[in-house]
Amino acid sequence: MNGQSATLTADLDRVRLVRALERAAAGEAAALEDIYRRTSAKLFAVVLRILGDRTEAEDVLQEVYITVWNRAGSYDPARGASPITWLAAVARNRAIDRVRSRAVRKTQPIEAAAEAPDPAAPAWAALEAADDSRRLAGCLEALDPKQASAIRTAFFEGVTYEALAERIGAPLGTVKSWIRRGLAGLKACLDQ
Amino acid sequence: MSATHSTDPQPDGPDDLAGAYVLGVLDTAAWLEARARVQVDPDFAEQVIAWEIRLTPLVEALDTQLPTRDLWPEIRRALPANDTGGVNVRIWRGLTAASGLIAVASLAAVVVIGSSGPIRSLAPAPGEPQSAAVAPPAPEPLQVALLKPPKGQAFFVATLDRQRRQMTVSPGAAPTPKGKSLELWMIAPGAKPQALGVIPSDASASMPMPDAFAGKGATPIILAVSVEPVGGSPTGQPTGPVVASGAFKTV
Repeated sequence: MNGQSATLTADLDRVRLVRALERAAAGEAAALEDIYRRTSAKLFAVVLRILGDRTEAEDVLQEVYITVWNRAGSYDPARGASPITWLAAVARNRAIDRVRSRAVRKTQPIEAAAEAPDPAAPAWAALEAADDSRRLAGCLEALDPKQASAIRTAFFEGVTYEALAERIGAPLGTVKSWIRRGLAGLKACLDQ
Repeated sequence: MSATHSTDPQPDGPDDLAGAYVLGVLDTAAWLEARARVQVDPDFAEQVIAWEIRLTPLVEALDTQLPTRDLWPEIRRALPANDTGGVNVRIWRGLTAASGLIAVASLAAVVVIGSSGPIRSLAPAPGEPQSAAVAPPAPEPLQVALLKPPKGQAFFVATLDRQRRQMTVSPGAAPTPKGKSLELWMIAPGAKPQALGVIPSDASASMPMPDAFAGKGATPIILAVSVEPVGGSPTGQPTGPVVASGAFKTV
């Protein structure tokens, strides 16, 4: 697929997803099913990585789509977030919510992360705001590698400063400083 | 090009609370507090949305994963429109679209219940006066109540915005009881519990501030959450166990 038609496909998919969110907001369950079919494999990867447990991740994934159903009307494309960014933000929120409300992590997220990608899953790339991802990747590259790594780990695993420090094997104050500087650097780079 | 420490913006600047919140590094207490702040502080909510837009494209790096089974039939069955609670959720959703606060908190996805309109679930008990939505001129300090079970994390965080005369209840570690509703009660010293309505455990709910909180001596009032049949207590008094409670303190 050449670059131009890839962009066209991505634009069309994005428009379809925005339309499906509008229809879901109007109470059309078939529209939510469409959203589920297009996005669940990606959102499941997001929540599975944070929760590290398939059963719990499947439970949270159901909550995610029920939340999407209830709040589809609050998605506003004019705010600059692609629909998939909005959906992924909802998914991360629910997963972190679940993690914060349980005392002890039961499983190792590394194990889940190591699982092979599922070839049957629908193509995510077509839905992605590819430009946003590339810019973000570029800005992360420009950070001190320790800062970038701490931010990536925190984002994907949904771990607290304390757990992050433990995982990296660095003092808490140092890790907090990496995150603080890394976020400031990202903000400066992305908001240019 | 690689950034070095000398080119870091604000190397010793304050923590970016909104960024840390979206990243997910805050511990439970700080995270709950930040989430409550999203409901009441539009500037903070804006910052949170900006960070969600900045950081969330990272998910592209994740390989897709299929659940072990098709979850859609279960989701379809669980949609609120399929049970008796559906009407309330639909009303909330309608108000969400109409609310001004939502305009700033669209990614954070707050459910706001206005002081007017046919709100069944959070309407005050019959005969109970609705507080007028007139904003007093002077800003008041934010008041927060953590509604906790006897042991463990807060189930809900309630915040009072005296300026807007609005109370917001955000879920924390609240469970979602199957086939039951969670109902919020206000208990003044020596008085019977007064129903404030059914609250969702997966969304924040805002309601007009009960008049009892208008006075300066409002802190002895306790907020409690009980488990009730779907739609709320049929008797006007708590019928199920009280699972969480707390009182407002100024932050």
